[in-house]
This record gives sequence, C-alpha cells and structure tokens, in this order.
Amino acid sequence: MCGLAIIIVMKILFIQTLQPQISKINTPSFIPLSAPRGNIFSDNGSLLAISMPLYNIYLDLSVIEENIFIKESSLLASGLSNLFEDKSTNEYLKFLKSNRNSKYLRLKHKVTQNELNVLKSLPILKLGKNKGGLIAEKRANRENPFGILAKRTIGVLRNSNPIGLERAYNKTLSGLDGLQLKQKIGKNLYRDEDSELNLSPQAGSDIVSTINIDMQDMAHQALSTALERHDADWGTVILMEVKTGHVKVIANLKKNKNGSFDENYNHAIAKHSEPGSTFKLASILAGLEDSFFKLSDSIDTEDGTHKFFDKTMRDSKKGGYGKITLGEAFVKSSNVAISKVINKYYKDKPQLFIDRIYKMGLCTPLEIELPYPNSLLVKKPGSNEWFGTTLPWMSIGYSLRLTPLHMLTFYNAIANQGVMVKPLFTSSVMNGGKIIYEKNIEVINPAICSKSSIDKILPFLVNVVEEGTAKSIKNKKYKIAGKTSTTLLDYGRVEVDRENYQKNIKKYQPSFIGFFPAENPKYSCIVLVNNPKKNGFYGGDVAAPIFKEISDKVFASDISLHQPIDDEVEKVSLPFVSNGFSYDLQNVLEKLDIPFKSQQSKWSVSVKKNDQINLRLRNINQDLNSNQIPSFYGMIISDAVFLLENAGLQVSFKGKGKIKFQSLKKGMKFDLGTKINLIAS
Amino acid sequence: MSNNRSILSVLKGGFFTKKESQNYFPFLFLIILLLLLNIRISFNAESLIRQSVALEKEITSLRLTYINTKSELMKVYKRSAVEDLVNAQGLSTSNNPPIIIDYNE
Repeated sequence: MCGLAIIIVMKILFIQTLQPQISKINTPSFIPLSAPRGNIFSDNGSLLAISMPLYNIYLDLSVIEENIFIKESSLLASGLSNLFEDKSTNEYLKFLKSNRNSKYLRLKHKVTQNELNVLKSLPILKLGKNKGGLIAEKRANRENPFGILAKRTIGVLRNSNPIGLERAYNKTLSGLDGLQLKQKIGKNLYRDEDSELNLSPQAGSDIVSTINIDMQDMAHQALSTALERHDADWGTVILMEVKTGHVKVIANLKKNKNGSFDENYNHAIAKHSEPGSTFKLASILAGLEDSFFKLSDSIDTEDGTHKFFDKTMRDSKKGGYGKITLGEAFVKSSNVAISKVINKYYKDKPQLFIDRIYKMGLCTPLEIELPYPNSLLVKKPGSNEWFGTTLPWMSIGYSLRLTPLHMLTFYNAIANQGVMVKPLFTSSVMNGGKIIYEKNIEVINPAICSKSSIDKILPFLVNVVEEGTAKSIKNKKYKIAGKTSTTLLDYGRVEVDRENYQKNIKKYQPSFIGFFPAENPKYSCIVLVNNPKKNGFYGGDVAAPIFKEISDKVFASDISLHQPIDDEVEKVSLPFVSNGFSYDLQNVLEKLDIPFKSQQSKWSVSVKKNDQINLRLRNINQDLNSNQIPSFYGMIISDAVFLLENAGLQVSFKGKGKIKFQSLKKGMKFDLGTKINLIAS
Repeated sequence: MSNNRSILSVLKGGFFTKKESQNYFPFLFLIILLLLLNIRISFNAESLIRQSVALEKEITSLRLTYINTKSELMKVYKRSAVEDLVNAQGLSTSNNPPIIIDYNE
C-alpha cells in the first residue's frame, strides 16, 4: 500500500517539475481577444466594407458509414451541384466516389456563411463532423458588398502595400484587442477567471465615407460602357459636391488582358499627367487677374499654327480660326490664341505666371486623407528644365503634371466663387451607432482669384457647352459649364519624330471638367479617358458624353436640385375669369372666395395679377352710346349679343363661350341695323 | 508509528467501529454532503459554461448569417442590378427630374 502511495507521489512530482506541458494544461492563462474591425459605410448608410469570415470546406469521407454513403451520396451530389453551380450532379457524384477514402478532400474555398448553412443541411453532411465528415475552416475576410464599385478608394488592408480608406483609417477601424484570463476545463471549453489584468476588447469605430453608392454605380456604368465603346485603356470619373468638397463618386476602371474592366489603380488621385486644354482656364484667369487682357480682346490665330522658337504650336482646326476674341478662343480651345497671348504678356516675367498658378492651388499637394504618391510637376523659371517654349506650352496644359483630382479641385473652386475646398472622402466616425467625430469643410484657399474674374469667365465656360467644343452635351433641362481637353500624350515625341509617331503610336487623353447646374452649381465632375482607339478621340466626343450621362442622372435623382411647384400651383389655381358684367363677376368671385380687386364700372376686363383677379374698367357702354364698336374679345357671347342687340345691331354668331373673333373692329362707326358676326370658342 | 497506525485504522474502517468516533458521524455526514454538493455545483457550472459556449456559437453564426444576407442584399439593392431586372420588362431609368409638390396643411 505504502509502495503504491510512494509511486503516485513520485509521479506527481515528476509531472509537476519535468513535464510542464502537462502540469500547466489546466493552469489559467491570458488569452488575447481580438476587437471586431469597424465597417465602412456610404453617405446613406450602405455597407461598403465589412468583416465577414469565409470558410474553406474539406470533407473527411472516411468517417461516413458505407450504407449511408451508398444511399445518400447522389442526393449530396445533387445538393452540391445546386449550391455551387460549378459542376453537374454526375460530376460531383463521380468526384465523391473516386475520393471515397479521402480524409481531407478539398471541396471548395471561400464559402460564405449562408452557403455553409446550406451545406450543413445537405444529406450526409448534416450528420456533423464525426459522422458526416464536414470540415469548415474559418478564414478572415473583408467583404466589399458592392464589388469593384470604388474598390480602390475603399481600399484593402494587407501586409504589403495596404491602400485606400482601410489604410488611412486603419487605427480607427481596428479598435483595441483585449486580454482575458481563462482556465481550460475541457476540450475547446474555457472558464473566464477574474483578474485585474483582464482587458475588454474595444470594437473599432465605423467610418462614414462621402461616397454615394447610387451615383457611384451610375458613373461606373457610364464609364465602363464608354471605355468599351472607345476601346480605351483606362478611365476615371470624380464627382464632387461644390460647397463641401465631399467626393460622391470616384471610379477608376482599367482594361484587363481578358478585356474586362477592373479597379486596380487609383488614377483619380495618383495619375499625374499633362492636363491639356482644361488648364487654359488657369492661364486665362492669370491674365485677367493681372489685368493684361480682356476676354473681348481680338487675337489672330493665323493659319492655325504659330512658331515659338523651333517648335510649332497648332490648333486642332486646320487653317485656324482667323481673328477671334480671346473669349471665343477659349470656347473653341484655340492653342495658338491662348499660347500667343500668355507668351506676349508673361515671357519676360514668367515667375508672375507661375505665382498666379501657385495661388490657384495648382502647384501644391492637396494633402488628402488617402495615401497617394506626389509626383506633381510645375517647372520653375530659371531652372535647367525651363526653355523658351515652356511658357506657351504650359499655358495650354503641357510641360506640367497634375492629377485629375487636382484639376477638379481647381474647377470646383471656380464653381464655388473662388473658395477652394479640400476634397473629402469621409464625413464622420461612428461608434455604437453614434457619431463621435464629424468632419468639417476644409478650406484650402478662401479666394484663388477675384470674383470679378470668375464672373467674366463663367459665361464662356457655359458657352463651351452651348456652342463650343462640348456642344454635343448641350441640353434644355439645365446648363453645364466646363472645358474639354484632348491631350496628346508624349507631346515631345511628336515634335522629334512626328511622322512615325503619328503613324504608329499617337495616343490621346480626352477629358472634360465641368460643373452643374451652371447657374447655382452643386456638383463638379471630371471625366478622363486614356487612349481611346475608336469612335473619336476628342474631349467633346469621348469624355463630355460620359459627363452628361452622369450629370443627367444625378440631376434627375437629386431632389435638392429642384424647387417645389407650390408657387406655380397657386398661380394655376386662380381660375380663368372671362370679361363681362362686373356685378356678376364680383358676385361669383366673392362666392368662390377668390381674391379680386375691381374698379367701379358696369363691364369689366379680368386680368390675373399678383395672385388675384383685377377687374378693370371696360368702357363698352360709352363706346356703344357714341356709335363706336367696342372690343368684345374675351367676353362671354351671351353678354355681347345682349349689348349689341340693345344698341340696335343685327348680330349673327357661332359657337359658345368667350369671343375670339368679331367682324367689325374696335372703333368702327355703326348705324342701327348694322350687321356684325361674332365667333366664340 | 502511531501516525501509520491511525492512517491504517482509517483505511481499514476500524475507525468507524470505535464507539467514541460515533459522536463525529453527523459532522462526517455534513462534510460528505458538502463534498457532494460541491461536485454537483461544479458539474452544473460546467454544464452552464457548455451551454453558454454553444449559445455564443449560435449567436456568432446568426450574426454572420445576418451580415452575409445583408451583404447579398446590398448587391441586389445596387441601382444597376435593379435596372437590369426591370430592363427585361421594358422599363428604364427616367432622366426627367421629379415634380415636387409641397403640401402645407
């Protein structure tokens, strides 16, 4: 007995000292508790990004009893075929039978919770892991319910090169992980223990983005259709709210090798390229600010070409536009006119031009929330890269590099009466359904130029659409102000090897930047398409129609852009009141409670004015007494017949209601028995 | 030696035959009762923990089902998805703005 006791004690000591992996198996230990990651919402609360685990599904077919497998495998195959729709029932049956003894057979990866729920209800698999052989391995996953819509901006959190809002707001979204002292009391079973070091996990906050998913979808569809139609390499659209700088749409589509489109680069904020003619707005504003010229000044576009040193500036229209005003040159987008006028006034003081461009915020990084590379390029006068041709080419949007977002921010400032606001991608941070932080509008520059300069250029921005390079998008419902651009990519190479370049690899980048409704802009938008290969390449043919498709839909769907019609209803609600006997008219108007004002007269003419009926004096009796024909137009025919017959005329008439024709004109003399014809409507 | 004898006496059960030990029987029964109660409570607690874990799993599963269903709803709710559905019936999105009638009582 004692020997047995000694052996037991020895074994206990051995385990406690030399086998800690066994002795500590039930010792309480701190287990990390991960905090749930916050979600990203659109401006109206639609889910843009959410943590939703997926499952990798494997089967252990060896645990299934033979009779069950024989009996139910075909039902299972049918269920799998219906669920995944990737193989036929027979293919699944063959797959199951050929792997009958497999203990870890890969069935499907990235299965959703709903699919797993269905799997758990299928024959055989509903018997559970030990008898049915279903093995579901959970894997972390961040889901974007709207697929590739704004995918690059919403972002991806990954170990290398995370992007978008997921990266910018990673700390806010992550929350704080916790710690809990737990003791193991069984297989996969732990009991919480009290400890001062226990730390509850704090769930990550939710981010509310400024993106409007409806508008994003519209823009996405319009852009992808156009990219396909023009066989373009990539395209981007940004739609921004003028007053707040809230980015409502940011679509980036690039053609894959298989011809489909995907969001795999944020061209809108990261692609630095020469803006082309849309930059002419900055050039013109610079000259207006320095009072060097007026938009009514005349300028000769010569034969559509002009030589600056060894390089030739060309207009897109062969032969040029002749002598035109500067305003017309802007509307027609004449390279020769704009470059000539800028070169004339700034060639001796180019720094003045660059200073103006700086003031317009086109040379400084935007410092937006999203991470993006800064390759902004604006050449400096006096530097090695500044030549005699730099200024004229810069004036038409070459020899500098800007992002589409930068150009849009500039146009947005023009729409916002000179106030440049920072583009915002998020509006607030929420936790537990409550707003804990709200973003304010960030003003970059309260006045990028004078209001008078903006007032001068605005009509010409509208004219670009009404009669200029973007007249294809002119419409009656609302006015658009904007500017087209057809940037020739690698412009320098054209000059070096014009013949070969044009023959083989001439590439364009059409764009359109504008805002609408032009009278009181609410949205500004840029559309940029890279390398369209068919169905046109001009900004007015490629980018502007995309802009219009988006603006039409936004205009129709944004209720705040439209006024209620109650004022008009009020006006319409005043009934038609015919001319006639004053007493009768007043009596009827009083009974119907219709506001009216009357002059003392027997006969009246009724006129609607300021939401009331004015009954004005009608000198019918005086006319008739002096044997003159009065005007009966608008009078009820029975009244007119009564008056005329009392005055001794012979009346013949057609129709009923108010008189629309009388055969004797007002003022004609008549005698007793004179005939008169009346026609009523 | 005497200690060994006492342990042996307890193990052999001779302890229970001694008359003077019988006074301690109620106390011993109480200890045994408390021990049984403790075991019962422990098992009960463990059962509650198991139940709690199972319910937590169910909640997680239901929450994930909710998230998954909501995510699928978002896909269907997408404007272009709705347009695709109604296009087959010859309907399309109107580009005419709405007429707003403000009614004040």
